[in-house]
Amino acid sequence: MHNRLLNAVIFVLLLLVGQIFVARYVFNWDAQVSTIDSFIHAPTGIYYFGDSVIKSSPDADASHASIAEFLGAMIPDTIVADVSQGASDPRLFAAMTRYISTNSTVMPGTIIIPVNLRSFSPEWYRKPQYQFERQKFILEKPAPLRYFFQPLATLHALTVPAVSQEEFLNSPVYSGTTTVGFVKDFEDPGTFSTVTKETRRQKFIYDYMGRIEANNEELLALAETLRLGEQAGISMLVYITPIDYTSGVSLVGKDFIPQIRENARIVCGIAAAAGTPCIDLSLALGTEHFDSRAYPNEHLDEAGRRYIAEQLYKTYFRKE
Amino acid sequence: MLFNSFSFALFFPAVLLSYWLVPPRWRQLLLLAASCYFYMAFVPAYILILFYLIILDYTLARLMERSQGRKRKAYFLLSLLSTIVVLVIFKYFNFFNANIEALAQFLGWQYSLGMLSLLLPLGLSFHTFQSLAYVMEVYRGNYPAEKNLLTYALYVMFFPQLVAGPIERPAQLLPQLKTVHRFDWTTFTHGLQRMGLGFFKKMVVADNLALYVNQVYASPYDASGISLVIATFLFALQIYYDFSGYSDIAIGSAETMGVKLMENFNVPYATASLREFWSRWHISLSSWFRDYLYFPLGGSRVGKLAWARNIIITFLVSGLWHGANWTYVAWGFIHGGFIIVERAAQRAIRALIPVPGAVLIRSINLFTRVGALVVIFFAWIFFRAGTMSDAWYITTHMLPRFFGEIGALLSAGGPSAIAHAAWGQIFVPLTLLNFGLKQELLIVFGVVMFFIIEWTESQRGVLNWIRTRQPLTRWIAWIALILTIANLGATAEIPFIYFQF
Repeated sequence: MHNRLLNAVIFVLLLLVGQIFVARYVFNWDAQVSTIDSFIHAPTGIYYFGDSVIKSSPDADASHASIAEFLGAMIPDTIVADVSQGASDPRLFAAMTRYISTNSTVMPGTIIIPVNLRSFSPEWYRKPQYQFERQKFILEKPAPLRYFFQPLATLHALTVPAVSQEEFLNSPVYSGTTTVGFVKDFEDPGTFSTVTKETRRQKFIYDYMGRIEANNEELLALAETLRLGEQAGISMLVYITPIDYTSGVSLVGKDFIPQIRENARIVCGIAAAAGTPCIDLSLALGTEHFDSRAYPNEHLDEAGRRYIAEQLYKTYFRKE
Repeated sequence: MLFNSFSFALFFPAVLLSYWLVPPRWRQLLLLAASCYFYMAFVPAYILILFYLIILDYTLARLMERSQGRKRKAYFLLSLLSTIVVLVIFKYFNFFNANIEALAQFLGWQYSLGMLSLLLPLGLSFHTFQSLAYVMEVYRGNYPAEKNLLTYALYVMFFPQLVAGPIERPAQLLPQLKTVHRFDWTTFTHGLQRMGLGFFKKMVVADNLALYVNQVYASPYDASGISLVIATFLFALQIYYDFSGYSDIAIGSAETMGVKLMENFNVPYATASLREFWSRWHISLSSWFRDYLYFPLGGSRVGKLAWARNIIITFLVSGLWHGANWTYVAWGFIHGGFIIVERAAQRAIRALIPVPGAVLIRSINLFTRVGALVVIFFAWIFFRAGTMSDAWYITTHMLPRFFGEIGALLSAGGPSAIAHAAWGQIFVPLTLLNFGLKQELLIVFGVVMFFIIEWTESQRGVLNWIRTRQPLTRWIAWIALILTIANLGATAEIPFIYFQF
């Protein structure tokens, strides 16, 4: 009997070791965490957070450098870590900041946090695929536990997806504080596969026109991100990424700019409350700088990306 | 409480450990308390329905045993009616009411009786049928009425099979519940291994396939012919592994406590005929209908027409047992109807060719086997569709569209272009959910594993195969099985299909 119990214990131990091995080496350990890991033991000066807008560029551009790379070129003595990732938002930034501040061998000097106003749209923050449960779990949990995300998710000990497809589709969409429909109305491929002025107008409302409320989950996460950074002695910088306001005005009308300004003011207000500088670049660039797509996106051409890097450099990093 | 949940992962080891540690005289009480807790995890108040049925059937069975003649029959009918009334109220009232209302409207009559807004108690059809089996066995004098109320309560409520069977017979389960089981390491580990296989079937195969099937069947009108054919095929695999996986977990968890439950499946898709399918699929239910409905109606020992009637009645009731929806009735009717056709065809061939050659016999067998599978897979459309109009739409549009799309692909380009386009077309429902290649590969993996497991089951059994390997291979196999479940199991919460019945 003792032998059997011993066997059982060995079996369980092998299972645990096997799970760590499988999580780390078989099922593609999270690429974003690996990227961050490659920087936390280096003398990284600046972490550049953000979504795909930081990286993406039209094919026609001569340079495909990201905004972080442009900035890095302006301050060559500093390592600028581009840890931006498609569809990320402040909820993930909080987990990243906690991870960086507790695991860095050399504490970074600065974290730059680009805030994309579209990330507050239900199209983005309610999308099941954009919840990053696995990544947040790995970033937030201690070393042995971080390898057990998948088994816990499979056992439904964690809610994955955090937002179901049905909940996503039934999320309300606002213009200001007025409900103008539900996500399903704006995600219908039948309606939006043909680009018309009306469908473009609807997408601009869907993506930008909702007022950001004070109890917004992302806004609270942004405050938490700033608190964690400041607590660790890291300078936090916030800026709001440009949006194609020219198209917005022509499609939605005169209410567009006030709503964008209002939302930017709310975001920068959170930064101000934490004593963090915030630059509002939401209305800084014209249509010509945006990747020419039918529906709203904030991806910039080379000149646009360079402009952002220059603004950050001039405001925070230029040595007088 | 779902078997594939974190709650069960905590609940089951705690119950198991307590079961083997407490003095044997406390085990029944412990299992009963655990079963109550297990059931109350769904809708706590519904435990009262179970208590009502338990006390009623226990009392009436005791009275029945002591009585003879009309009195005995009266007690039996009272028990039968009381159980059926519960089923009708909770499961069928709204269905019959809505149909009567539609009929009344059609005939221009005034009829309006409100709908009941009651949740269907989990596994109602299962435990009521288990109670009915007990009452009928006692009535027939095949089994003595249980004297101990707690033992009988545990017979109805034994948590491994409480919500989805196997539907046990008193002669099989009651004596085991009264036996003091001694801990046996081999039985214990065999039970755990059986549970492991069940979890693999449910979480890795069935649940990953379900994501595709659910998407297509949620909106069949938007789906392509290719998607509909694939979804119907996948559903046939999904429902089998969903239920067979559940049964493995139920049988395995009972086995860890020394209780042997009846087998529910025997490689059903390897059937040689439609008739044989029903001796391989959901065996505990099909044998229940055979013993308590089909045989009492006369079974096959009657004339051809009466036999056909008996078959149709049995399958219609079986369909209705699954759910209060015409889709289930249609599903039952298709099975019953084709069993009659199958038998008629066999008789006709025998009459035409009294002494067939070996090639002809093989050809007929192959035709019967393929024909049975086609009928079974076709009937699943009705089982899975949300409404009769959905089912009708799928049956009438699926194949014409499918062949149209395949034709278009063939005329579009060479083999690689076709393969690429076909892969894309097959997985359109997943891309609508924003699922990528990983989920596509998981579906392919699920299908491949399905056929590997089924083939092994038809030979010597997956578990037997692993158990007879060298210790190192065995350990690797068990660890690989658990790690695969943990890492490739679907994370979306997909309840067992048969829990709704």
